[in-house]
Amino acid sequence: MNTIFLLSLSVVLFAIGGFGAIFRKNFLVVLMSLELMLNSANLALITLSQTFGPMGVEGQFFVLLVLIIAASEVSIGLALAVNMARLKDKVDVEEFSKVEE
Amino acid sequence: MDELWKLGIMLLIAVILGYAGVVLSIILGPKRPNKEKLEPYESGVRPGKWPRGRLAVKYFLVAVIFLIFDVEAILLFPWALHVNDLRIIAAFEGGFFILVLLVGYVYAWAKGAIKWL
Amino acid sequence: MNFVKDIYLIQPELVLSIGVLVSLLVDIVSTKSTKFLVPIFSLIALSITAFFVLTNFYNEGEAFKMLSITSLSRAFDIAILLGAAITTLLAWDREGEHHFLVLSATLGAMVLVKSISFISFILSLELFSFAVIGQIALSKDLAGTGAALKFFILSVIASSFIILGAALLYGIFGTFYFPKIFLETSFKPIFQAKPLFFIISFILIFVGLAFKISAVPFHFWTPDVFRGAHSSVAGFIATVSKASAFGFLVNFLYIIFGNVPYLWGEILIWLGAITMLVGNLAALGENDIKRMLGYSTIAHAGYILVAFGIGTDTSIGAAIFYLIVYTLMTLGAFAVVNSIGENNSSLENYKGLSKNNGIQAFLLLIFMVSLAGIPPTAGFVGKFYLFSEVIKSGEYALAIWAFLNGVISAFYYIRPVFYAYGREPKYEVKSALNPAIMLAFIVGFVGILYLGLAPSALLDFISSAFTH
Repeated sequence: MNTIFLLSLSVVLFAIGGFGAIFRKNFLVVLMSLELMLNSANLALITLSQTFGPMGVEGQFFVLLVLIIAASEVSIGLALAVNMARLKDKVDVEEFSKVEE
Repeated sequence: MDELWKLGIMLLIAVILGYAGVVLSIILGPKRPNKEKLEPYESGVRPGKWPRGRLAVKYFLVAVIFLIFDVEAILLFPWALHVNDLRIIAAFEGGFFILVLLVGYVYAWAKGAIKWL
Repeated sequence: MNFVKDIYLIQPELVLSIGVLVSLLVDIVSTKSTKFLVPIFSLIALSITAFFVLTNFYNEGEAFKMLSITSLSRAFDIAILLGAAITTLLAWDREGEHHFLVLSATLGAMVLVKSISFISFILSLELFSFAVIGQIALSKDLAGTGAALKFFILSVIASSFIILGAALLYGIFGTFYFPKIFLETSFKPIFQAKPLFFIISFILIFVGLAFKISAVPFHFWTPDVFRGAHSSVAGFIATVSKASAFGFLVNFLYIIFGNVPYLWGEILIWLGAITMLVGNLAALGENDIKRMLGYSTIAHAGYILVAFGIGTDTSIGAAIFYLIVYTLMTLGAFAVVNSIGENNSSLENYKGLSKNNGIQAFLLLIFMVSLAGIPPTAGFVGKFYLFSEVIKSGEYALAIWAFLNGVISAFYYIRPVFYAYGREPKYEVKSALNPAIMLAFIVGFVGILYLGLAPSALLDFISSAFTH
């Protein structure tokens, strides 16, 4: 019961993150949404690794790896945000996604 | 229960290392106080300004570098759990991991990412 | 000792990872006047790695329960290293970091091809995509930042799909190790155990991978990213990224889900057929050569997907041969784009190219003819083997479909050549020809003609990966 609840929570969080990443305009909010997606996957991993008891160590180790991936992703995103702020003075995704001719 | 003294030694070393830095810098460091140094410390920002103003881009750089090195240290945790089982291999793997981080650090240093001002 | 044996198996990857570290140090040491040291070092590291790959070509085994080293995966390595070396030549003048990022991405790609555990898979995938994002973002203008932004957001979304899929698969089987998952699925019918989980996780992982190889419903990012990125980076995404993702796909589909190959084959063939049509039709209307090449890579991904869908040893061999040929000709085309100028990628600038820039116009002719699959170039030979595999498997409708697609593609490949030779120059185009680009031209040109006239040596080598 608890597992199902937590898994549903992680799927809901994943969906929220996905919508945020695609539809929000502010890049910092997009970064937060991406982070939410990765961490909801983490929640699913933790939940499922609980069901294996002591054998679930592998899943918990994987959580650490995903945390590191998320951290590197955020740092690359922040570097991109600095670049955007230098070019356009704002971190608006729409401004940069137009294809100029 | 018998093993707890090892934890005690570790705590002791941690406390000594922590205080050693502070105390040694008080004893050994040069002291040239000026107005800026005596102001309350706000992570390098002049206090009293309007908080929504702009920050120098340097902060982002340092924050990003901190984020990376801070989080990478998690990987040492599962490594530390298995040091005893792996013996010499653990030394090899841990050494390589630290070497990778070290090269990154040297790079950031040489490119002036950490240099203030 | 087990550890030593495993280390012995992954020699090329170890050599390359040391090369990655040293390249950063070389970048620190080199000054403005000795900037060329970094790409030279990068080429040396890549060739030493290639040497180790060739000497260990027939060493097979499993390392650390993470990587499965087979001759097949080493064949993909050759395509990856070739692509990385030519892109290094194209990016000769860029910052030293670019070459470091190329080496890291190559390492990621090489590990990705061999990974048989979700742990190594996701780590190498992230190593690869983050390094590519860095390469794109190094051109700090508006277009480059926009392209990096788009690639960044989409690749993180794709990898979080993959991670969630991996988490759900872990929930069913309790392991990340592919062969163990395969063992479990082959003993009990998969749709009985936890069907919903299994199907959802399969869809999630496949969506993530489809993003990476720009298969059809998820291909929209490709032309925009190609337009904004430096041509060497666009070439890198087009070739190395494809090679690694396809290498992994072969590993993944035929190991984990190996007990349902027929279903897989059907899905891949349909996906490939639609992908090649969409890529070719969209490329017809493009007026920018970089965007056109972007759509063309989508179309080529379609051909290769079809070959994988058939799934016999010879068809996978033909696909690898095509991948190597495709690497040569696509990077050759990008080398022409690079030498004409990054910002002159509109087709208007290619009008009358033969008047002022004869060499580039001639090479454009060769590479475009090869991409279109006209003899005596290697593109023809590659397509010939691919289509004859399709016919051998009895899918005649598919063969006709692929042939028609090849005919459509000829129209847009010939257009720039027609502009270059048949029209009067509209703009004065200043082209750059440094020795590095000349070398890239020579490698592409000689490779394409050699493989077009005498393909049997490489084909025998590739098929020896299956039969040795």
